[in-house]
Amino acid sequence: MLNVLIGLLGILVIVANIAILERMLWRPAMARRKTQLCKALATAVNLRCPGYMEWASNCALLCQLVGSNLGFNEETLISLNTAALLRGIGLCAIPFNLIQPGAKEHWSSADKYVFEKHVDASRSMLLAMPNLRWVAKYLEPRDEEGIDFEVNQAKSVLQIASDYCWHVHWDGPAYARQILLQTKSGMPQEEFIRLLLQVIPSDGIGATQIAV
Amino acid sequence: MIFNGWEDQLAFYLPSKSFALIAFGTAYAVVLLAWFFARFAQRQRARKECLAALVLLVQQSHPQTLAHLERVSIAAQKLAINLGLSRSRARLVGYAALLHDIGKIAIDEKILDKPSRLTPEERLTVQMHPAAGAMILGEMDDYKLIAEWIRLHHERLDGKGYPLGLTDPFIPIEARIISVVDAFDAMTESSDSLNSRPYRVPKSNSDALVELEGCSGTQFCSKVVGEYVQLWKEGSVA
Repeated sequence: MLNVLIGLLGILVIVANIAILERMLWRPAMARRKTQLCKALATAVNLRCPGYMEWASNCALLCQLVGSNLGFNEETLISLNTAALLRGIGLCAIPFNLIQPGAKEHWSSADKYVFEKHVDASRSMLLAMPNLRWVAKYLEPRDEEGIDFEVNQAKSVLQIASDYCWHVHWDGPAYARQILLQTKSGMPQEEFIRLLLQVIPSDGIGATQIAV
Repeated sequence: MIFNGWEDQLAFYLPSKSFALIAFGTAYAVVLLAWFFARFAQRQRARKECLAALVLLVQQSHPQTLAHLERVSIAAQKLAINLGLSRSRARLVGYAALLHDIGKIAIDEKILDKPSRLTPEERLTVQMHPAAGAMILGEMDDYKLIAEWIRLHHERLDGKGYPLGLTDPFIPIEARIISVVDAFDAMTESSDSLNSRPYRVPKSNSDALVELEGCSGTQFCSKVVGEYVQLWKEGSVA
């Protein structure tokens, strides 16, 4: 009996040590590696599409604020943050001249169509990246009958915040806020827009200042 | 068996202290080693997944570049091994060669695919790509070393390279390897290849090797060129 107890104690010590190693070394290292990959991808997109990093980090911040207000759990908030940073990696597949500052004024309808495909491209790219595949679901269209309620909410928050930051980036904060106010009533995501309007300043300064 | 009291009984059933310690130590070491190797393998897999993600980015932005990158990567790794670099170092050289043009993501495809010669401004734009590539890879601790090789893969021994204009002693062997293999592949890229430079007539392999030898000592490292030519003569790279 005593032998068994001592043996069990030995196993317990070994398991505890492995658990400590996992918790203290391995998991933080893997998390850091994923964050660094996200930053590298976002930097690459930023080099191709100047201002992307600001747009993406503003979007991530707004998602965090709205997500916290909605009571999302920590895991969803982290995923949402990553998804916001990587929502635009599909811009790499868009012709260079379409995503330069000031290019939007000269877009034809075909150019607009090509640009709008970038989220689909982002999703396909993320699905092809084994270590970031889990982010892709946040870029899928909202599934009204989806089982995971929180993921569905997160998708809507990401889309609204991203559209807002996109307008801030191209058209200025005042216009972006105006668009948000115009689309407020009658939309299924009215609650999220209301929350977003709560976290952005009312003077039309916009998300850039929030991020700072 | 007759026991004299419970102490005797305990002593009979309990293994000796030293045996118990050895058993525990062995089990601990085995579990720790198994954990370490499993995690090491997972780390390598994670590294490769990062690499694949970055290659996918290049492929999306300029699909034609991928075939060039793959050829350069294979040849650079072989050359690194032949030059006496360790297997792990050679593998890193292969990775660096696979990503050496990632900075071209920041360059307009119209410039990269331009059928005529580049203007001086366009040339300057293209010359940004090593620094841009280093900036992207520099974000990751695993690839910081590779980032430096990529930054320097267009440097020349005579100091006429870019982006820094470094001279012989300051250019690492890994950057020299990528430089030679990249130049050779660019010279020999066939005109039916999607990535071929339309304004440049592709050279035959032997002509390209002669050109490399002609530039060794000024643009390229003589030792690296010599080894690369040797590899071609042996038929080890195709």
